[in-house]
Amino acid sequence: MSDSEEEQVKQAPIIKPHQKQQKDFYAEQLQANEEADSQAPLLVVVQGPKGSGKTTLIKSLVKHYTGQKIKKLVGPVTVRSNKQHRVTFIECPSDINAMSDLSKVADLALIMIDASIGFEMETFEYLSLLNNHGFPNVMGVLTHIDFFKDNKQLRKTRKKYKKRFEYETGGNYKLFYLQALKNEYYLKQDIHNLARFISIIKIAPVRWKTEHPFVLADRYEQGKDNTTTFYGYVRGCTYRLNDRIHFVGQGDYYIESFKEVLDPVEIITTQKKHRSLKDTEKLVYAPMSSIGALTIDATAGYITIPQPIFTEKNKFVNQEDEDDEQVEEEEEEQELPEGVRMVRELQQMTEGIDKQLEEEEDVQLLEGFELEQEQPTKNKNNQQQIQQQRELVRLKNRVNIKIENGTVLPISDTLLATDLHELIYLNKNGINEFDSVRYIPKVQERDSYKEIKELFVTGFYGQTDVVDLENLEKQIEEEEQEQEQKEQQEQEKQEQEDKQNQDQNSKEKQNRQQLVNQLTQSNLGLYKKGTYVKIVIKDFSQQIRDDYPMILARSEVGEDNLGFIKIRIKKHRWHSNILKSNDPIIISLGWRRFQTIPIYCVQDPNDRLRFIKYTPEYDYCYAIFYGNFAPQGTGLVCTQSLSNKLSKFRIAATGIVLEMNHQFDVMKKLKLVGEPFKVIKNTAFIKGMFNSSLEVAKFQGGLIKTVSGLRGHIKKPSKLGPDGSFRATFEDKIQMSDLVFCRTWVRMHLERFYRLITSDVKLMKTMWELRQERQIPLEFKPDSTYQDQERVPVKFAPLRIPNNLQQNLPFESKEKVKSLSFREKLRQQVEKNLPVKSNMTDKEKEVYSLIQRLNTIKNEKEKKRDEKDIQKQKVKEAQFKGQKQHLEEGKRKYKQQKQKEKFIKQVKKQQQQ
Amino acid sequence: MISFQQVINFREILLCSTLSERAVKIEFSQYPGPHLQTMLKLLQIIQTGCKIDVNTKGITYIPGIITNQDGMLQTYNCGVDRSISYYLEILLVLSLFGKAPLNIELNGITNDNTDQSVDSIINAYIPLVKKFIPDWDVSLKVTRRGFLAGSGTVILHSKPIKQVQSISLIERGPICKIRGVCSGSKVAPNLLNRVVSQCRNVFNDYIPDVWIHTDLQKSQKGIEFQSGYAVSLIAESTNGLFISCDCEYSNEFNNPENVGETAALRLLDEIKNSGCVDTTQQQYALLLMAISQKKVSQIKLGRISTHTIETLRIIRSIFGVTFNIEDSVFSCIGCGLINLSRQTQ
Repeated sequence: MSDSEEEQVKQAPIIKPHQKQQKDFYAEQLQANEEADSQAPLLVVVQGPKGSGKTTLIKSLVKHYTGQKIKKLVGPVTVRSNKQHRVTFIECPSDINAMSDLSKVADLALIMIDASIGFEMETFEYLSLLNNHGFPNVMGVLTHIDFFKDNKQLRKTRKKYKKRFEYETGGNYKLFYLQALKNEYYLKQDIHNLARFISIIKIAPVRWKTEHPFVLADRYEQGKDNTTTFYGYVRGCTYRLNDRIHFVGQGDYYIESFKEVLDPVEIITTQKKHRSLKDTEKLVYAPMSSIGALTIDATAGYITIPQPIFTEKNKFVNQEDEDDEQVEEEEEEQELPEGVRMVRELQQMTEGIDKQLEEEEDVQLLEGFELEQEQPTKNKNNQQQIQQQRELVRLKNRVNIKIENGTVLPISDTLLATDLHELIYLNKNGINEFDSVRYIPKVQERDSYKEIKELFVTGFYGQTDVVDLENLEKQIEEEEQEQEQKEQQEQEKQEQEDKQNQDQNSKEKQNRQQLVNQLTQSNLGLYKKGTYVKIVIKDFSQQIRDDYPMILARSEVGEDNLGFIKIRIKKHRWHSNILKSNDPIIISLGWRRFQTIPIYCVQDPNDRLRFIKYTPEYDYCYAIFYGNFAPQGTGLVCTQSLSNKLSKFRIAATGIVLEMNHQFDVMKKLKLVGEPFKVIKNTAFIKGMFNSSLEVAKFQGGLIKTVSGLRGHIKKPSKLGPDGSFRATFEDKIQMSDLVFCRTWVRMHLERFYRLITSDVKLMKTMWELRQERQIPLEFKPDSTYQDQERVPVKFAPLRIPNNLQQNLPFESKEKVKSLSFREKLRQQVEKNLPVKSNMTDKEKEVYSLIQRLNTIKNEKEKKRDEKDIQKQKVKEAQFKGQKQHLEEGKRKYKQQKQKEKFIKQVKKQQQQ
Repeated sequence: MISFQQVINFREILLCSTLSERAVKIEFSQYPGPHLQTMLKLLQIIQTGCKIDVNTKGITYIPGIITNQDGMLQTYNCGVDRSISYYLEILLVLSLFGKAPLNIELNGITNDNTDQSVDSIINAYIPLVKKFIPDWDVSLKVTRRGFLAGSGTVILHSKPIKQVQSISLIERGPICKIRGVCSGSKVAPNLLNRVVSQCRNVFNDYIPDVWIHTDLQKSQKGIEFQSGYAVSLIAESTNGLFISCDCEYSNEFNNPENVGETAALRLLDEIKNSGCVDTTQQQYALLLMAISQKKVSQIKLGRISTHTIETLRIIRSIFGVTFNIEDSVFSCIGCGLINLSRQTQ
């Protein structure tokens, strides 16, 4: 990544939005920093890739401050740098968990860079972690400079690294150079400079820390009954005791006891002539590392008895290098100090000191004895033996005397001077026995309130004097004079007041400080930062890894609740792949690190959260996941796995908390497609969009749209067509070939998955990991692959303009040449296609004439046949006619005869009558 | 889950629980009354993700996030068991820690003799909360008076805030003004004037700056009003602190002169015996101090009511804030409660 990085270096450093927020916060903090005088030890985190010299640096610094040598560095080391100032050093392992935890607590981060290799992945990861957890002070340390033999090249690389470092950190931070090693330590001058810078540094307040107190445990003891005891300084801000505590990386636990104990590295408050520290005042406190043989703290003392060292003559045999004190001790063998003698006696003991002490009551160790010898063993076997023989000794008497000064009794046992406190908090009687009503004062007689006249503004003018008319003029003159005097006085007063105001401001600060002190000292469960405390935790039996930081954080009100969190997130530009929705991810937010399943989304202009399947490559988007609440504006870091293989950049994404809720509506677009099966004017019947008429009923009145953009409504389910078809109306007649869409939104299901990352956590696997593990190929849908489209050219019918329209058109648009009718055109075409005679060959002519002749014959024959047919028909018709006439004549004659007969009959009848 | 046993007064527990988002289990020593249901329903309206389990012994309450229905105007009937101000007192504190502004119309009793009147809330309680939050955007209006039968209506608009500030109220200063509201419905108009003049009569010995408004409910068609009248008095000190008291028409005080005189004497008693806040509202001042930013807050109180003692115990068990009491000055370092439901961009 060297070339591309160099290009980036040339750009100006960018101030990110949360850094700006942080800047505003600095100003706010500097105005009202109430707890300025109580200071916890400065927490210096030493971070760097393997082999960059972290341990050596801490060892060198401790040696510089105290002159002591640390053999094996484990856990935090606290040293007294001057009378008012203490520093805690802690080494940061290259594990991503430890890195993110330590980036949250660091006051100052020393970032080690191996000059022979250059910037490594861890450095960038750590910087990015720091950036998102509230940027604390940072100092770069360039080591292995002696790798460059050439002076010119050295200067060049120095410059290059400096530029790069300044770009990464925003330009305000120093890069130190440590020249070379000498006797396994860095050069004295270099370390001296570095230590000076550490002691004068002004700590930038980090928002998270000023609101969240925590304890970075120095050491721990695991008891028998599942209780574990931790010791450490209260850092961040004032610790208010509550029942629970969060062990970062382990989970929440109930506190059994929380006590203030004797500070191992106290601030020296007594004023003395000497500004610098005496040799006896130079202290180092590193309970988990191996420094000396004896460590004493508030409740217990530990003596390491390195067995192979002792000869029978009770002499220390130092194989490596002998300290001056020890030489002296050997010389003054007979007049040993009491402490040393006692320790030596311990070697010969047959029974534990516990039992011995029980027998003898008044055993007291004298103060001021010091054992600063080192363990002169290198062999692994010996070390194991020493560890086996490390015995725990309880020095009852001495310890008890000292504790009484510092120990705070538990709340339930304390009594305040006032009875009211007792009444409220200790007396359990009468709790919640009344429903809440307003307080109605018991009224006394009217006259008994006369005494409270002075509580009113007018109370001072109660008795008015009788006005003397004679003296009125004099009085007025006097008053005028007085007024002039007053004005002068007021001016003077104002000047004085201005001065007083300034004084008052400083006084107010002092007063506030006094109040804080008063509150913290009055046993209300408040612990100022910088107090050394002992915490006993219930039900904790997990293995603790020594090289991991043990951070115990107070679980704040509301922040241990679970719910959905909306964050603004951006994929880290160096992470190789984009992130997928519904893939588990590990988030480090607040004190907690947990695995959860996020859903990514973007916000539409109408505030709808629209689901997206993958995070954008170089842009912000939102993510919603189920997790622990944290205040808005808290930074967070996402990783995809916890493995320490540095194959790629481990930080997947960074983000910031925006909103918390118990439900979010994340919508996904769903297009329903249907096709018309019957079109009548603007109405169309559409099938295939829904499966049943019930579904249609749910979407009645819904908006639909065709591909060509015609809009319409869903009207009613129809009986025509398959089930689920419906009637719809459009703004115009739609084509049968149109597709109809209904655009809908589906709410996405948010997964309630939350798993705190502890040392023995089993992580949920991503789909990709599962596929890899079980050799499952990717799901393949044939219709979701892209295919070549074959398009048949569409034939459109010719444009026809109706005659009516044609006539009304302006002359310009009118047809100039009259278009032929279809038949005429056809005839023309046929004529065109007729063979032209002149072009015929002889043979063709013959054929043609033959056909013609044959045709004439045929025609003649047909003619004759037709004529015959016609004649036949005529004959038939004539026959038919003749027959008809004959028949009709017969009928007529018959009728006439009948009438005659009738007439004769009638005449006959008349004659007879 | 924090459990409380032998409880009757559940309101402060529910309030603290909702603010801290900690689940509580309450076991009642006796059934507190139908207002328990009304209160739980109200809490459910303004929240999402809130779970309430009611059984024969008590309730389990898991608070959610206060969303106020995304700022939509809601209507809620508070019933006739307790007055509107019983719900308003905690609703005002809860609305500070919401996601959207709270717009709610509450129907019920505006004046009764167990709770403060709505006028005292407008004129004394809201200014008290504003001491903690100077730029709080809130409006509370009485659109209709309701005595006994609960036909009153109150409209509340309140905007959420980020964090409660710490305060130091040590000196009240002398009383410079006395204000008040004398309200009534379905009574003769001169009754109210008689109440006012009797109040003045008492205060004439102390201060001339007395101004008591009269607010007579006009009759409206279709609504039945119960007859009654009440007076709410507020004393303002030079340091901008308010002390309130109420008196209503009841069997004990059945003529206007009696009501006026009792109200005035009650106010004098409050002025005499209470510190910077009046006795009824002191528990809310202490609660706001406990949830304020992580700085020292101080307040001077006079006498302490039993409810305040209960509230202090509840505050300690839920927020873990213990007060230091010296010479009737209550001081504490706030727990720095942040509005977690607030929306940011």
